[in-house]
Amino acid sequence: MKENQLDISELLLGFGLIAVSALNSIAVVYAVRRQKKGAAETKERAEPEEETGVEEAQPEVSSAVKRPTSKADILAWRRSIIEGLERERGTKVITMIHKKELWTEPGEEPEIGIEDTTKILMELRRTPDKPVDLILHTPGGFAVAAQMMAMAIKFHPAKVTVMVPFYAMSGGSLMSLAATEIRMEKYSVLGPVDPQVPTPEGMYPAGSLATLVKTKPIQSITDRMIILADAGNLEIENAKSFVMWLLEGKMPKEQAERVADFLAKGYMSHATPITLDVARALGLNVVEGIPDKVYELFKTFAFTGQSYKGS
Amino acid sequence: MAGELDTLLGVGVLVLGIVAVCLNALTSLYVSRRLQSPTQPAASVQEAEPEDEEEDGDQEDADDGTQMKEQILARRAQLIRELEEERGSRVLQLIHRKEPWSAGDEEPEIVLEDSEVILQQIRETPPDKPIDFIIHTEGGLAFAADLIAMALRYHKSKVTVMVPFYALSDGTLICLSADEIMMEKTSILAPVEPLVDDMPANWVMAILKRKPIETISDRTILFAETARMETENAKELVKWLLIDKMSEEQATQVANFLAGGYMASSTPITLDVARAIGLNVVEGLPDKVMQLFETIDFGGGKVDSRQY
Repeated sequence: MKENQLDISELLLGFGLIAVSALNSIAVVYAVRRQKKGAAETKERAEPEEETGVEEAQPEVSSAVKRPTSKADILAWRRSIIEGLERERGTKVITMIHKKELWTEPGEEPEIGIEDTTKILMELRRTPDKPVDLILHTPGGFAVAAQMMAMAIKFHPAKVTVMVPFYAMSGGSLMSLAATEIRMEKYSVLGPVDPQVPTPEGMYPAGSLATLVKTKPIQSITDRMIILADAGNLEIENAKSFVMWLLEGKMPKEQAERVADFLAKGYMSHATPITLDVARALGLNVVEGIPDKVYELFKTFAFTGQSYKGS
Repeated sequence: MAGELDTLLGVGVLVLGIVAVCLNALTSLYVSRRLQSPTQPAASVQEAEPEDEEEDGDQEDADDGTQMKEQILARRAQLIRELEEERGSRVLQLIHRKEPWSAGDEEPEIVLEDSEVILQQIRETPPDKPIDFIIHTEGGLAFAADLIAMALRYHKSKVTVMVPFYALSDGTLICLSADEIMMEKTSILAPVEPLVDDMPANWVMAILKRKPIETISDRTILFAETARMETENAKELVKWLLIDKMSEEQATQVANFLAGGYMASSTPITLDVARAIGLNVVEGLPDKVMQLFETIDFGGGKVDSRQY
């Protein structure tokens, strides 16, 4: 009887050990898989994940071995990430990313131009019934182009989500205001949309020109500045009513007017960061969190440390 | 008979169990060893590469340069890895300097690309992992620095900024976002007053009070307007960066002190001053950080080079 009990306890112990080892092997398999996945990702991104980052910035030798360098390869790499994101979110993903590429001409600073409208408008037109994710990364640029794209976003029948992984200033912010939903991280920013006027003295906010005319005796201001200031006032009116129209249906009219005043009247510097919290406080529909794939996409762009064309 | 069979079965299963555990332990040991050292081969590959190139023999000068660069970069990577292990943190760096292999004559400074890379790196750091941020810069684009400072402040774990020599202007702004600043007695920060067209913002504003307005040029009045808005932004940002580390009143005072134009923009803010205005400053940097700078040939190169 005693012996029998011993047997049972031995049996139990044995099974226990087997169970433990089975668990262990599952853990090991899991670890190996993670590592393999990590390795695959590393290969894909062409830079070590756990690295300190020092290697990332080695342009000529090691990156050249791992990173695609031809335009076609880079675009294909980008395409595959975008397709992954589309599968993940079940949306059509459109990007407007103004960053220097390896093939960007020296001295050229990418920004919103009239050519962008063709791409964005066509892509939106092609997918009338599918939710759209628009990845925005831009310092702003040509106001009319930004307004055209904002209109297209507003008119799009399906849901449009604008994703701002880093920043979408000025015209980019205008486009964000048109979206059904804005996705940001805590550290990504929008900016004011007040018009900037090119003057003989450089680019100035229309609001500042108005202040100039108000504070200085009119006989001492140059003719050209007075004219530009007056024209600038009209631009501000335009921008304000445009923002109000974009926000129509998203908030009460009085609130929309306050937001439009805040963003378009030039009370603050054009580079003022409007963070997630501020955007939310204004009453915009902001959701925190950007999929990792979006950041993966940015790794396909030439970061500093990579040599640009001609440099 | 049946009893013996039971005993045999029991012992058999027990032995099987022990063997299984032993085997498993061995494999896990092996696997974990292999998992731990994926970085080693990478380093050796890098070191090996220039040698291959050297065999070509055609461009000896270029090869020498590459080899030196590879060696220096490998050494730095090694130091960073060791520092990460030593401190159990993720080490990020914003180091602007000229390298022996740089070319051209532009001074490196903070640009938007810097903030994008660093924001990515901060995002990839798990929220529970402390960040050590080594900074060595003369400043640059305020907007880019704002983004980095905000991202560091939003990081959930402790953020330590290490200033081995200097972090001026917008570099100082980034330092203010940290929970702790590590400095040497000799390292300095600087005021964060914005510059408008290379003029200190507060003095641009001051001209409006000193000169009859009709005699001031349109351009200067416009600058003054920009200066007012930029200063306001800088003060608000400094205040926001400090608000959870000190009282609101003190934060306002520090913001005023640093961005209010009371000192020349070149005024050094030493460890003692930084401590006196209420920043959490720790004296002394890990040796590894200083060793990182031993690999740099100061003034040896001509341009811009960045390392992340």
